[in-house]
Formats: sequence, C-alpha cells, structure tokens
Amino acid sequence: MSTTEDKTRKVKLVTSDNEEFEVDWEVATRSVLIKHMLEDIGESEEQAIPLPNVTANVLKKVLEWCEHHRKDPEPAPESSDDNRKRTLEIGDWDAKFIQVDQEMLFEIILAANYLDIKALLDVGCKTVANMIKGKQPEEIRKMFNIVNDFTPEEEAQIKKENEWAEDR
Amino acid sequence: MPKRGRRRGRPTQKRMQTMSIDDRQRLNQQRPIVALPAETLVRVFGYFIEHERQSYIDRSWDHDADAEDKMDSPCLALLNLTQVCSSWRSIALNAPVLWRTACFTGTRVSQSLAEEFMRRSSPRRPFHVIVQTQPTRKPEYDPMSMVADMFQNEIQDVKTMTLCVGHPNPDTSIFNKEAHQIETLTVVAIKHGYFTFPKTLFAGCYPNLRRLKLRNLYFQPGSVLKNITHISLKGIFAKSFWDKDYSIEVLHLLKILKESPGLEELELEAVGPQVLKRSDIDRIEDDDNLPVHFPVLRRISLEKFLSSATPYSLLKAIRAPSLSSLSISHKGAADEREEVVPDEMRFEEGASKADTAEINVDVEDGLVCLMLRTLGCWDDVHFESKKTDWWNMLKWPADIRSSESSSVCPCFVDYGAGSHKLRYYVDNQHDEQLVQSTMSFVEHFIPQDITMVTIDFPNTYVNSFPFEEILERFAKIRCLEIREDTDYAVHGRFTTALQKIARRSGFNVPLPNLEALLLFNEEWSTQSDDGFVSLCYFLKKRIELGKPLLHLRLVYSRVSKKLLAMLRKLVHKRNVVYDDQEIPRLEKEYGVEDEVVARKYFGISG
Repeated sequence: MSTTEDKTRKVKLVTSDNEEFEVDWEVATRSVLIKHMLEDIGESEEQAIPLPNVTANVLKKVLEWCEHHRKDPEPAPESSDDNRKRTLEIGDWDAKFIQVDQEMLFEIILAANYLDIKALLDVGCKTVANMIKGKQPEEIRKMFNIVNDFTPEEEAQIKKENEWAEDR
Repeated sequence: MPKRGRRRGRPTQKRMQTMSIDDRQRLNQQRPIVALPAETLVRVFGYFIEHERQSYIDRSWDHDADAEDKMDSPCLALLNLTQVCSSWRSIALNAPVLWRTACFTGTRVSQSLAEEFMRRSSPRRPFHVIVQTQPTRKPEYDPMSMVADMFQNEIQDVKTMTLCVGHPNPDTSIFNKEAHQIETLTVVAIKHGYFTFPKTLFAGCYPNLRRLKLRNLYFQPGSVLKNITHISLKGIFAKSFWDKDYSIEVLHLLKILKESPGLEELELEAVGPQVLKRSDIDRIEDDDNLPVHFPVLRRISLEKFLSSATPYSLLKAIRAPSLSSLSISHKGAADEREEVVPDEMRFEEGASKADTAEINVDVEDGLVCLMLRTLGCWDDVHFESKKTDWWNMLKWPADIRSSESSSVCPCFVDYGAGSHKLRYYVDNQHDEQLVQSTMSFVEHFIPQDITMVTIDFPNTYVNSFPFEEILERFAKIRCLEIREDTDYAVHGRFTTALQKIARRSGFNVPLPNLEALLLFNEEWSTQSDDGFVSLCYFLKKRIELGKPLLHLRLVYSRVSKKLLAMLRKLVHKRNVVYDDQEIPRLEKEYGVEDEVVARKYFGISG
C-alpha cells in the first residue's frame, strides 16, 4: 500500500549505458522489480537503482508507458487456466505507443519481462500475436527474418501433421 | 540487456542451400524474436491461440448450413506456429498449456490429430473441446461419440465445450455425464431438427456452467437450465411428447429463465411465438408467477421477431433493475414505444446521472439508437480547440480515461461506448412513422436533465424531425450537436426549429442554457438562405437579451467568408470555428490547382 509520502518521492534509475533517470515513485513502481528493490533499500532516497539489463532509449520508452499508466490499478494475479480475458485487443493509447520498429518492440518486451511490468508485457505479446495472426509459417519467417532450420526428422513429423491437417 | 549487432537480412536461397542446419539455427538465434525467453514466447502463442479459438467459436455460432467457407480448426493455427523454426517448435511442444484444445471433425485422420493434441497436453487434460462436422461431408465416425468415450464417468477438466453439429441424430450421451468444471457450453445444430436438447443437462450436475449458447435445437417439455448468467438462444423450438415441433411458448421460456435468477445477459433471436393474440398477452399478464425478477440482468437483446408482441410480452414479464442495454428488432409497424417496451422496462438508476445523450435515427435502415454516457464535470469543458482535429470538437476533463488524452468528442468517438444503450430496429415501418415514434423512446429512456445531446439524423427523405420537442423537453442542454448528414441536400430543418423557439420565447432568452452549438453539413452561400436566416434570428435574439451563444462550430460545411463574418458578430467573442478539414475534400473535389480559389471562397486561411 503506497502512502502520500511515497507518491511525492523521487526514484533514481541507472541504465546499462549509465544514464540516470529521476522519476516519481508512483511511476517507477509500475515495475514490480523496482518496487521490491525500493522496499529492500528502504528510505534511502539517494541510492540509485541499477538496471543493468535496460538501455537508456528503451527505459525512456518504458517510463513513457509507466507515466501514462501510473494511476492504473494493480493487475490481478493471473491464473494459468484463465483464458477468458485473453483477447488480442489493445487500448488506443497502447496501440499507438507500441507502433515502433521490430527491434524496439522486442527490446520493450524484454525490458517489461525483466522489470516485471505485466501489463506492458501483455501489450508487447499481444502486438506480436497480432503480427502472427492469419499468416502461414513462411510468411512469419519472412516477417521476422528467420530461416527454416528444421532437421530432417522434424521435417518428417511436420509433413505428417500437415497430412492430418489437410484431411481435417 | 546485451547489445546486439546490426541485424542482417535473410540469406539468399542459394546461400541457404549451402548452410548446415546448425548454421541456420545459429543464425535464427540472433533474431530478436527467437531470442525472447521461452515463457514470453509461450505467452505470445497463448494469446494467439486463444484468439483463434474465440473467433472460431464466434464463427461457429453464426455458421449457416449453406455457408461455403470451410472453417479452419483453431488447432491448425497452433500447428502453423510449430512449423516456423526449430526453436519455436521446441518451445511450443514443451508447453502443454498450448495444446489443450481438442478438435473433432468426424474424420479418422482428425481423430489422430486430436489424440496427438491430447498427448501433447499431457499430463493435463483438454481444457476446450470442439466438435465440428460439415453438413456437406458425411462424417466417418460420430465425433460426439468420441468425446463421450473420452470421459468415462464424468467430464473432467473441460471448461468450454463447443459442439457445432452438421449431421442428424448425433450421439448425445456426453450430456449424461456430470461436468463439474464446465463454464461455457455452445451447441449449434447447422440445420433445424438435427437434435433435441436433453431434458437434463450433464446429468443435472454442472455447478460452474454460466454461459450457454444454443442454436437451432428443440427443447423438450420440462427442460431445465439452472444458474446460468449468460443465455443466448437462437432459433429454438419446442418438441411435444408426440414429437411434434412448435414455437416455444412465452410462459415456457420464462419458466426456463426463472431457474437462473443471476442472469446477467439474455439474448433471444427468433425464439417463441412470432405472433401473439391479445388473449395470449392477457394470459401472460395475468399469470400469478410473473413478473420474474432478475436483479443483475444488465443486457437484453430480443431480435428478429415477426411483430412487437412477443418482445413486449417478454419485457412485460421481466423486472431488470440493473438494465443498461436493450436491443429489440421486429417486423411490422409500431406507432409508439408503449407497443414495444412496457413502462416498467427502464434503464437502471445510474442512467439518471448521465450528462450526455446521443440520438441516432437511421430511417433507411429502420434503426433508432439512443446512447447515454456520464462524462464528468461540465465546467471543465472548454471549446477552444481550433487546432484539434475536427472530431475532437470539445475538450473534456482529464478524468475521462479515453484513448489518448482528455480531448475527446463525447458523442462522436465511439457509438458503441455508451454506458446505457437502446437499439431499436424495425423492418417495414413507414419512415415518418419511425421518426415520430423516436420521440416516445427518447422521452422514456433519456433523463430530462441531460446537458449535452447529439442528434444524428442522416436521411434526406424525411421532412420532419421532432427537433422542437426535443429542445423543449431537454431544457438544460448546454451543448448541442446536430449531425444532419444529408450531403447538402436538405437544409435548415434544425435552424428553422431554433427560429420557431426564438419567436415563441417572447422576452425570454430562447434555450437559455445552450452555450455551444455544433452543426454539420450546412451550406449557405447568400444572406437569404433559409437556414442562415433562421440561425441568425436565433443568435440575434440571444444577443439582444444579453445571453449570446458562447461557441458555434460548423463542421463539414460550406459557408462563404462574408456569412462567416456575419455569424462571428453574433457569437460571444466571435467564437465561431469553421472546419479546416474541408480542405482535403475540396482538393479532391476541385483539384489541387483550385485549392487557392476554394480557400478564398470558403474563407479558410492558408
């Protein structure tokens, strides 16, 4: 539970390329990782939080998201079985926010995963899922610049699966 | 995060042929998407698979017997993912959670595929079961039997079951087994008469079943459905003891619904008698067991009836104090709201706090839509938004969680976003009749204290619209938006109403609370144009009585510079906004070379 004091507090974050960001406590604690680290270091305002897995340009983008969503309620703990809310819909603001090149998109996903920002991770994952939607394997490969690297055994298994699929 | 080198393009086909499998796998590992942690990729795949499953179920619900499109099983989408690259395949195969949809289509081969899915989902059991057979293809085996055989005594773990049956007399023994975990059941018979819904579902034991969708089935006398929260019934008939089918009676239907007092959403489409006699209606009204109370029922949809009598009778027999959405469609005429919606059927209490209403009448389609919303503190609304896009005409306070910022046009952004909605569709109704009956719906559903109203009336063929009645009824309106989307064909109906009100007001300020007026598609080129004269009359009277209009905006309109200058003199602080977005359309219409002329004529600064 955050206090009024917390809300006015500033937090320093240091990226892997040594850039320092000073942000509101409320913004920084959208990240569960940072929140736990802050709880560990206690009241010490001077101490900067190192984020060795995030570069400045990615953190800047992540903080933009956290700033916009600073007032959002805490996400409910998820159940692995609960698929009912798993739609691919993304809010308008989030959709605009995530209109970035592929490299940045994956950096944001990695950062959201590392910083433990579930809602941002979901936005990233849904965006990738939307990109995959309606595409055949070759089209997916082309889109993500990947190549067919199956072993002959895997190819044989895939061929069998395709026969099943064709006769569905 | 480790720095990555510059992304390289795909190797050429020639180079690919010479690369070893190991080299290709190494190459893929450098790609950002392949480098994502396995659990993150599983998350991506999970979203994708769930989307495919949901859209498949939605399509099954609307699938017609004569539909030519073959529906791809959602299982194929998952197979596609495993055929992209070795890494994705390995990740997907090692994630049992992705394989928990078992799909049976009635061919032996598909049976093998379903078994493979079940093996891959091991040690967990299928979570979603789908049966789908095509009417055009005789199944090699009855997939319903296989589903029944999959579960010995009871149906374990299954949370959703979608049965889309395209062949007659399927094995329904699955319904004889208890289903403790099932939450959602969808049963669609592609053609009427393929099967009869069991009298007792899942041996009477389905404690978690909340969502039920049934289409083209027969109900037996004494059919029981308990504690369902979302019911959709489409084309349901009843079957007598003598196997004769007939329209399910309203009282029978109400008796079934009564067993689900926690009902939240009710959708009925072409269910029940299509024509009711007066004596039938009296019998329903006199029934001592009615009305049935549904304290949390918030959405009712009664569609595709032959007359208004059946929806009326159903609504008369129901009490829904939490109602926020009502949708009705029927054929035949109804002069007044009272013939379709009984007095007792109203929106829940919160609707009275709404400050924004939209009245949308589409005569061509026979549609009336009313929408209510509560947006916030009116005093924070301001009109100085010349620089914003034309759809962001008003700025609303920041507490509205809108798409991007606080600048939204409350009535325009999203027709589906109202907190309370009425959708009334009537087929074969005379145009003027529909317009006139609109007023009775408006009076019943829109609270009188509303402060902002949008009227969207896009038809050119109807000469009258109850503008005056609406303005007189909703005297607290501060902002009014009129979207007569007539493509310049018919003008001045609204401004004429303003003039009449101004004339009648005598020494009183006409529409004293009105501060902002937004008009679409006005076309005035001379001072004698009727619409322009009427508007000026109203504006002048407001000035004369010391209460000028604060804001006038003309959207998608054609008004000469001279007339604009005249209007500016009649509005507080010359606050008239003329829509700059006219330019792209003018360019398209007149050609780019005429743009300067167009700008000059329409008074648009460059």
